[in-house]
Amino acid sequence: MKNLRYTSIDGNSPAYLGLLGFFGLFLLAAFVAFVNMEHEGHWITGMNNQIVWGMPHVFAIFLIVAASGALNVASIASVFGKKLYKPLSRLSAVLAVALLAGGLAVLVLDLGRADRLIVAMTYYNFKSIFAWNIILYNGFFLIVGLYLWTMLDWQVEKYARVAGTAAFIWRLILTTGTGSIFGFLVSRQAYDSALLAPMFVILSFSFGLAIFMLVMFAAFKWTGRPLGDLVVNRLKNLLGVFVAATFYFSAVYHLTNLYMTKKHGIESFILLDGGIYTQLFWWGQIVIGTLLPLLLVYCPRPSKHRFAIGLAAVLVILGGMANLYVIIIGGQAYPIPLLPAEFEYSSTFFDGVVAGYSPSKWEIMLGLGGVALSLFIVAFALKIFRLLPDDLSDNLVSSKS
Amino acid sequence: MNSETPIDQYRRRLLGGSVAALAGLTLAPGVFLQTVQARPADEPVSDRNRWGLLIDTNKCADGCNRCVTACNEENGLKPMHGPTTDPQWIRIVKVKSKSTGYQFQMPVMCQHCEHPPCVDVCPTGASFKRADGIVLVDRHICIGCRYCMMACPYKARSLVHETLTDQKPYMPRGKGTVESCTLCVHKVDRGDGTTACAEACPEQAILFGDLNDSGSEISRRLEQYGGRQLRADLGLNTGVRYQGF
Amino acid sequence: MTIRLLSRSLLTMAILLWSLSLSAASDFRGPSRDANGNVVPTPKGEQCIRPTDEIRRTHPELLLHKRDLTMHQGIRTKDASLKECINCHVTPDSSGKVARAGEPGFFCSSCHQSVSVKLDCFECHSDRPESADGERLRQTSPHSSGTPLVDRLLSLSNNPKAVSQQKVR
Repeated sequence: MKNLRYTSIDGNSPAYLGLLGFFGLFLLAAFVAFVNMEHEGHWITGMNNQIVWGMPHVFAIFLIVAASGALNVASIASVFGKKLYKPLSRLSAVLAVALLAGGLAVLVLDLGRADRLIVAMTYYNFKSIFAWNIILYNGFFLIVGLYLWTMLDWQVEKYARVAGTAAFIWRLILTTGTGSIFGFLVSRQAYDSALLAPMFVILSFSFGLAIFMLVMFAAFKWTGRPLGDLVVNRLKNLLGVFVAATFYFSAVYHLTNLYMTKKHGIESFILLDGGIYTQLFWWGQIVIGTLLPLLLVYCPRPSKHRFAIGLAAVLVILGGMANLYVIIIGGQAYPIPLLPAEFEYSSTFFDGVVAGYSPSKWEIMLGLGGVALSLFIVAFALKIFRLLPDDLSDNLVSSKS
Repeated sequence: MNSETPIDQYRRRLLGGSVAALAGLTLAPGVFLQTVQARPADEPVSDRNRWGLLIDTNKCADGCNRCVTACNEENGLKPMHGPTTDPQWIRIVKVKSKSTGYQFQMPVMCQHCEHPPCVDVCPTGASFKRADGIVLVDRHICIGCRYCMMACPYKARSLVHETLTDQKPYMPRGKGTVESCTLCVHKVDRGDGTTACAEACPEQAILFGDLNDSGSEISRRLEQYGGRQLRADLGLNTGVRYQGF
Repeated sequence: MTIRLLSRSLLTMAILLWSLSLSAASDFRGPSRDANGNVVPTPKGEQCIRPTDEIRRTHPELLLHKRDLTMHQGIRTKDASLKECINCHVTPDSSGKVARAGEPGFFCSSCHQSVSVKLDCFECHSDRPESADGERLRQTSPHSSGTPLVDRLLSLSNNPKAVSQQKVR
């Protein structure tokens, strides 16, 4: 590979400052939402004693899962030796850190007692996967920070392989931990499955790469750097593989549940008569999130156009959000069976009925603020670090893996 | 009559003493057992006791919810912004069998499991089980993440969704923390020997007692008639048992 | 030079006015002041659980430690009960009004406001003393443990000041 030059951006153009300002508006809105939620209490949100985790958690878990997946491109270069992706490693690492920061910000600001974050960092119940996740998230920042250092500083470049491997293993454990948050719960019919942890790992591959591709397209295009088809096509095919793998895990999850009579209730809720959840599953996750992207990525005519590839990435993101909405909120909406399946229930605490949920504007503002924070960090990092290669045209990158 | 021989005096003393001793022996177990319940205020709780409830759904009268109102009054739970966000430590669940049409109702509250999922998942350890089996939330270190609410198989926990004022002095509770039935721990520690819901039930369908004491009424009734757990397949060994269905 | 003098005298005046305003805040019966000039409502009891100097210094750690004793070990002595602190320290003023947490005249706020340390306790804990009737005199009902005689004996031992054995409903 010819010597690549990495440069930062000047970051003084009105367009750039306008972009930062645009993100800043969302950050401001999220701040207002947080202050309001903290002052009034959670009654102003759509979350309640039945739907305990709502829109903020859909956003937060999406961002956190995507964060570990965004590191994939760097990992494939450092750990698996595919030099083709090496020029993109820096952007990948920064995006990973940025997405995690955005997701964690939403999660922390939604806490009932956000002022007690220091308690969460000092009192640990090590039987709780949540407590482990806190350690894993902080460790992720540290390890990816060190990894980024090996990429930026030629004096420590020889440690890139070690740092990259450590980061790769750490992110697998982290995403397994995130999936286990749900997988370890016996309380709900939709959770309580060992499959959720590896499913989240595969979701991370898919979401992370989709976001990475969109950020990459935007970063190269708006800074006037050439981006060759070779790299784009490889990433496109990788996206297709990950989308297919996501579908595989989802299919196994549902087919297994369909085999168990006691799970027929939750399955018919998600697949047939769950109202919004059924719509989001079929139209959101399957059609928009799986079928259309696969068509765009693999059919010869569309896949030649960059617009189609970018669209595929956007659809994967939308489908992923729908997927998480069904898992997180649909899983809570379905009633809990206090006794064996033959009984029906009714009470003042919404036993036996599907719990209703409509996201409030505060939750959506908070969630979008997290997205804005991630993108703000990436945009700002492009200014202060030398993250992007000057030129990624086909004749400059190696075609040998 | 006036001239009592020493023997008579001795006999009187002996008889009197024996009667007194006998009376003391009869009363003493009752008094002694009861005073064991009222633990001294400076003695830490131990696993010598395991507090629990036995609920007989046959006695639970249709349409009655006195236990719910008693709990709300005892703990200062007030309706605030509607049933979806109001705290509900105990609720009456009406149950109907789909296949046979059999109907009944039962009060459901925190089941005070021996292996509580809520305690396992709490990241800070705020959700904990006391040595005497009562599962509580240490609201000083609760960060309001609501993971325990997700984890509870009985949906027993509530989040305090708004600023509270006029809390009961013996039951502090505040915005942003999670709470659930405390098995009236303030009454238990005071030695009341019962909970507000058990006290209030006009049919005496709720019985409070020490599951570790084989002589207590709750243990005797459980041994005689058995007691079902809700979601028994989870193997949580709940402290709240049900009879009648 | 004159500007320095001016700003210094302005600062002195401001401090004087501020401390004057503190004394103006005292408008209830039996106000005592501590060394800082803070107004402190007269507590009810004979003495605090620790000497004044010591409790001022150590009450944060004491509270942190005692709350764990109460929560996890069920220890509810007067020494380990925030409720008892409030019962003693939160007393009515000359007009019979009891100050709420954060208001001037509330015992804890008298210091905490001037040192700008936010009180978190009263988000959850009641800032009012237990009333003489009602709360303190709740007794077990005769139906609860099946032996009315023993109950009455017990409740006597629990609460020597009890006037009525009947449950206040």
